[in-house]
Amino acid sequence: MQTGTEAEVLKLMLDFQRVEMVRLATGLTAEQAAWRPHDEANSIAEMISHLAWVERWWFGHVFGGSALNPKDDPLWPGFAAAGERPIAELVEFYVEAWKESDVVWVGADLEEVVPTKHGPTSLRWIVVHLIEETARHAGHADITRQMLDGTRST
Amino acid sequence: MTELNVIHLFEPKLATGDEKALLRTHLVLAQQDLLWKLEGLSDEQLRRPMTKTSTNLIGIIKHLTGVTAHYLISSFGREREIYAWEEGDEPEFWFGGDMWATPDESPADLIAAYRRACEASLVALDAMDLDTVGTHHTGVKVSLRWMILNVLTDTLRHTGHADILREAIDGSVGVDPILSNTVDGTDDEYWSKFRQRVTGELTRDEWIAYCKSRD
Repeated sequence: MQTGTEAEVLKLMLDFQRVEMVRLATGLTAEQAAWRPHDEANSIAEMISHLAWVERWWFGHVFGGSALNPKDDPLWPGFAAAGERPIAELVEFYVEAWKESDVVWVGADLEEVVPTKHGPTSLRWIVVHLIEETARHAGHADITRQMLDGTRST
Repeated sequence: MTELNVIHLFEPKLATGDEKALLRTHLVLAQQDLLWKLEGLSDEQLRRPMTKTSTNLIGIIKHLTGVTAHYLISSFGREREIYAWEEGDEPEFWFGGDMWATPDESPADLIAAYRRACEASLVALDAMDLDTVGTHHTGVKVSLRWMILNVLTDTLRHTGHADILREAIDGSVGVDPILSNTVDGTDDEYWSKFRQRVTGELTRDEWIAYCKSRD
């Protein structure tokens, strides 16, 4: 797989970061999941909720053309949507969102272009962007988790 | 380092262009964003251990210097600069020695070494095609395509660490030098209201009404 096609490698990399997010969100109490290291930082629960919304935005709405547009919701970009929902439920919501994403993009042509507010954008760009965004949030979750209970990243 | 503007993220040529140009540009942007996270801090702030495992900003740079050069250059059988802390048989290298700056190492020198590693990696990257096969340190055969994404995600993950550390040090936040606001149009009042929502002082309806009132 590490020497596979472009689509295979992108899927591998995206899944790795998604699974890392789930690992970092697993085994937390409700209080830990809602804890934030600083005022403007996000809790792990909020990051998971946000990433589910981001999946639905980029893959579902922008690329897939789904009528469901997360940006129409005042809670966009979805951090605050975590609310009081139990972390296990949020994780389930995230996994469900990424499975829906995969139905939309896996097997599609990476050169396929859709309009965005930044101009025409390829599926390749969208997948790389999701990998980047998920990795950066996983970095936030690494430190947040480390501050919470000393769990170290891989 | 090639000075790229974050606007390049959305440049039509890249947004619809070829795979290698996209990966290359995004790698450079990730490296620049990470360096931006360190700007304006004193040596003491850069060295300060911030977590139980002593994560510190300059250590992230020192660590990624070796990671970037090793993965993108050595793994493909190419010669590269050996950094001072990698020389000889210094056993401390294997015990966290690349995760912090010793008193003899200046943060400015370490940042300069990271910039050299980034530049040399781009030279190597430009000389190979994405299907070139190299060897990961675990022995697994990997393509250059995989390796660029590996270094890109590793850099971003560490930038995520730096986001939190930097905020703890001086309160600065932001994704990159241009999109520095975390949410469009946010200000202190927004964050104070958001905090009230999180602590339960504001109900869902009050919070949504506040957000809508800002439009």
